[in-house]
Amino acid sequence: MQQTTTEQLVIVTPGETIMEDNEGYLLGHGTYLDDDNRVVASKCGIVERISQYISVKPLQSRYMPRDGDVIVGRISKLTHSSWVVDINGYQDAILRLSSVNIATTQRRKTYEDSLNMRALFVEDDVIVAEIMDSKKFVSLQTRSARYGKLSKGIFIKVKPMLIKPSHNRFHTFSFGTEIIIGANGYIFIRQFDPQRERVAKQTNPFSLGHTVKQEEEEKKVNQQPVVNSQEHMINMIRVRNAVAALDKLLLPIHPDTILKVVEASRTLEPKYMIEHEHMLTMTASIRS
Amino acid sequence: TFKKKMIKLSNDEKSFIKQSIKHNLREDGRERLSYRSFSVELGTFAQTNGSARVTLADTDVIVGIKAEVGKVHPNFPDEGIIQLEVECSTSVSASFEGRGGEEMASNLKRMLSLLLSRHGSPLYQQLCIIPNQLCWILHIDCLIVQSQGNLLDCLSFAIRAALQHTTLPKVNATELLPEEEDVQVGEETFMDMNTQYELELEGDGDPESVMHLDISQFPIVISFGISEGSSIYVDATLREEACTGARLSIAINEAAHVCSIEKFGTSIRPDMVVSCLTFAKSIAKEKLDRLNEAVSREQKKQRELHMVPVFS
Repeated sequence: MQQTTTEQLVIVTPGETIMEDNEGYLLGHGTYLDDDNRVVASKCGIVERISQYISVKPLQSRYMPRDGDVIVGRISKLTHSSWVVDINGYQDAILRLSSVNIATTQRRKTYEDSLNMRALFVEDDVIVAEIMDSKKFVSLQTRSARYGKLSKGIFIKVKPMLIKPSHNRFHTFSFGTEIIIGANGYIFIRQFDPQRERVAKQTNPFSLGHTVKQEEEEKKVNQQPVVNSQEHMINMIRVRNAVAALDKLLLPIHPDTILKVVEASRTLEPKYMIEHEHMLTMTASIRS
Repeated sequence: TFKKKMIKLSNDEKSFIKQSIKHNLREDGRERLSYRSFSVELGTFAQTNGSARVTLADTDVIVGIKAEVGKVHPNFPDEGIIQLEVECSTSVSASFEGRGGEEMASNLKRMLSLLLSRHGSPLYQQLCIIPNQLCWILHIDCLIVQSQGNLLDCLSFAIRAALQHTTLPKVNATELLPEEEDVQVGEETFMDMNTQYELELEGDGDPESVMHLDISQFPIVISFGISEGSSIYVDATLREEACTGARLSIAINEAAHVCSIEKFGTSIRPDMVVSCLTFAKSIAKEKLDRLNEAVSREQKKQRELHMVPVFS
């Protein structure tokens, strides 16, 4: 998305004229040409102009699932052999019992397993999973040890359009906070746990999205002395407020942008990050 | 209750949030007794007698007040009438299942009526035109534009600000003798079963001849959540509201007098009630100062612009 400053963001409603004359511009989603050759919006959203292409990007859009996307979801209900998961899409996704990693060894799920589904995930639990198939209905899998239930952290919801495509949804900052940016706009922030990472790597040597850069970063985190939990909590709050600020100002949500906002916020106490004037100052470098 | 349909939290998240409240470091970094910043805008609607918009971070409400002349309530013959309505905008209702939005709005209306309407207060008495006969009827209409927690407090700030902004024309009512039947243009005639009145705008409709309402005793609401029996906090976000069982709302005015206390949800220890009352006094004073400051700033601005209120 071509980045414009917040002041230049033009928000339109259906029927509003975007341009008086289409002047050789290509018209994309959310626009149409009326009888007087004017470019008119057909959706509520932001006008996006990339060289000769004009479109209207809706502000409140739901997530469109794609195969292979890593998402954060919330269990909506249980059936006899699967979980129904809210993924911020137009429909809920299915996580089948057969797609879940119960033990380190792969085995067929038994009748007892289906009775014990609640031992794994119950309603309202937050999980991280990968989209397996999104053709007829969306199905998820949590076969990697990196996937599964998320706890001891902060959940926050942002607009899916602000999340850029990325092969790695798990990111750990140097100060020990881990963030999982679901492609669907659901985000989970928690403390990085080296033990958990070791287990994940051991049980699944093919775990995707584990870049060399992340390994180096993790080495750095492991070598740091154990910080008290209050400081960890403050860092998590800073990340959470940074994400909220980026969401409020319609800026891309990516570990780089989040880090910039967190660094800019170091002079403030975390609670002031939620105020509008401070949101603007912290994100100034991103908006320019 | 209706709120639980809107925000879903896992047991892990609930315990995390409760712990964060207990350790005085909430999810957004605030301390327990810390409010989010609020802003006040007056005169949102020109066609009302008074209006205000208050935002508490992302919680956004608008209040408009319209006045009409009517018959007094038989139980309160020397007072005026105040009717409160709360409506949920469609964008907020959409996030509820079924009629959750309406349910929330009617609950808020009930709570606000309990907390704010005090017969015998100067406000009600000021609205009387002719005892036993005529009075002003104020219609206070509240619209919830956005909800991110703590609607009750936010609505009370907005109602008070709108009342402070409200102007009513000064009227003289004279009893009509039975023979007089012709009505002159420019005057209103109020028909009553027993007596007929003629209403006249004082000063012949001079815009300067208006009455401001005496809201010196009108309270604002400070709502407390009590988490895990002993962690008292204010200005809950939606997520915090969803994991707090016990809530206490205190209506308190400028004189630091408690006008009303309402308790919702699960049980509270009596000493918690006392603590909340103590906190409410200092918090309310700060909020009231801010509100009064915002109102006087706005009124000064209007005087400088020679803006005059318009009434039908």
